[in-house]
Amino acid sequence: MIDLLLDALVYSNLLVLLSISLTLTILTLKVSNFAHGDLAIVGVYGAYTFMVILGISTYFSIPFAFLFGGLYALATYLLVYGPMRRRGANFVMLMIASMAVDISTRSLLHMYADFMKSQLKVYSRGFIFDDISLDITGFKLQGIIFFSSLSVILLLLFLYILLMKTKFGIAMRAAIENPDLAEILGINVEKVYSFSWFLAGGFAGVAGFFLPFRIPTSPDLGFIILLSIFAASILGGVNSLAGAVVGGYIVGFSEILGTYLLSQPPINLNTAYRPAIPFTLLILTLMLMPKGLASLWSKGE
Amino acid sequence: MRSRVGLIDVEDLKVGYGKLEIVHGVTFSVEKNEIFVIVGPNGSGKSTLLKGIFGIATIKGGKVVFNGKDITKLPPHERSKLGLAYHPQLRNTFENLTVRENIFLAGYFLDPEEFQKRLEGVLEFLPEIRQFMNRKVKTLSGGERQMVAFAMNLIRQPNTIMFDEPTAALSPKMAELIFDRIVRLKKEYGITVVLVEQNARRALELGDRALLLVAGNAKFIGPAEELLNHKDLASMYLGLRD
Repeated sequence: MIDLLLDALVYSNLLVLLSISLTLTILTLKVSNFAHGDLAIVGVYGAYTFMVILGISTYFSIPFAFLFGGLYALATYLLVYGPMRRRGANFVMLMIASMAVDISTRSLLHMYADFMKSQLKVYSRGFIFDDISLDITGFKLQGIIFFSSLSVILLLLFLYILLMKTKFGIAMRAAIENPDLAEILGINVEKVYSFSWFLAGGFAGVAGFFLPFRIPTSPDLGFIILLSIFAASILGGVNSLAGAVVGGYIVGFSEILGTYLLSQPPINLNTAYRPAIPFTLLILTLMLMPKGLASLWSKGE
Repeated sequence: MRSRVGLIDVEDLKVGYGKLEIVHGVTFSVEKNEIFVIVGPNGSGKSTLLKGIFGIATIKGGKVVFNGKDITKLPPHERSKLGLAYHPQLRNTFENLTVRENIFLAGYFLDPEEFQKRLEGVLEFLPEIRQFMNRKVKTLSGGERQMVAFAMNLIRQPNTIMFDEPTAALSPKMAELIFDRIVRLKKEYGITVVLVEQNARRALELGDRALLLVAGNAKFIGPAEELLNHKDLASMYLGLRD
């Protein structure tokens, strides 16, 4: 049972990072980004590549995951979403563009996977990372539990300090809330949005890095986990970063524990029904609490 | 070419949104250190005219000269650097930020020492703000929000402020407070004021000169007092009668 809970914790950590970053992109651009899961996969392929080339130990490649996820998100913003925003594209146009970005990204990842296999001579589809075992004062712990939790704590702390305590962070919150007024005051809104997208991509990339420890990873995996990311973000209230954290943990734990419980007697349901859990949570949220959990602590906004 | 003497020279300005033209070629000058009032019926294009001067509505023709410089094609934040400030009617503050953060952002380009110095001056002029410096703007009343927007402009030390209906939806008492500060801006700081107001009588009483805008055209430009006492125009378009 402990193992199951730890599994749920790891998966939830990953979802929290992804739903936080999805929320960041929604806050800046009001886009329902269907390519968001792909950012995680770009991150993990970037990290994997440098792990192989530099021969570094697994966890040392986390910064590469951040960097690749971030740069790819920045590129999609600068090449696709930013220009569309400036031309006044609406929600639906941006959403359809994100579908195109999703298809292109996965195709590029497939091409890259072939390249990786032929040039670096490693498994590039369905690969997994071997974990290390940490010994913390006699207490045995899998590396992923420690590192995924540490990543969530550090990145959330970083985001909090950035947004609440720094000049640039205050400008970010301002540009997100009222870009027109921010522009009048001389804040470079384009720069702020670009940075937000880089940050969002970085968070997603780090989340992606933890995938191969549990799930055989392939270029299409990003699209498969998309449903859970959206469920977490929408349960949290879409526009709330704090909500995304809570939503991530609820969806993550429900998905892992629920799948386990439903697969036990007397129900004996096939574990392939796993996506039904986030999907059910998503529908229930939209029906019963359309503004998500954030509506509980920010009444009257 | 006529000689330019004003601080703001607006020449045959046509303004609108998208394909729609709302202001159809208006010409006037705002002199240094005066209160220039723009009045007119609802929907006559008063706010649109201000937005055109500040560069956030589409200029479809004519030009705007500020302090001798043609600013017709300049983006808003460049105009703001020249000392021209704009006080929008709505959404003129960041609601999810505290009052302090709002004012801080307005002085984004200042070094901390200079900011602190200017903040003291602003708080002397608007002492009411002191008691809610650390509250989020969304918890404030309409009048308090207008004061925050006021402070955000003052911290930038502009030479001209264009107010778009600063007293709309305020209590008479709060409206009078805002009017009082606007007059003091001119008297104590020598700031030029362009004021768009729906309370025409009050605005014309405190203004120096006035523009009456009707359906996007100027019907009257001249001393505010003259418009206030003009039998036909005042009763026909402003609903004023003695």
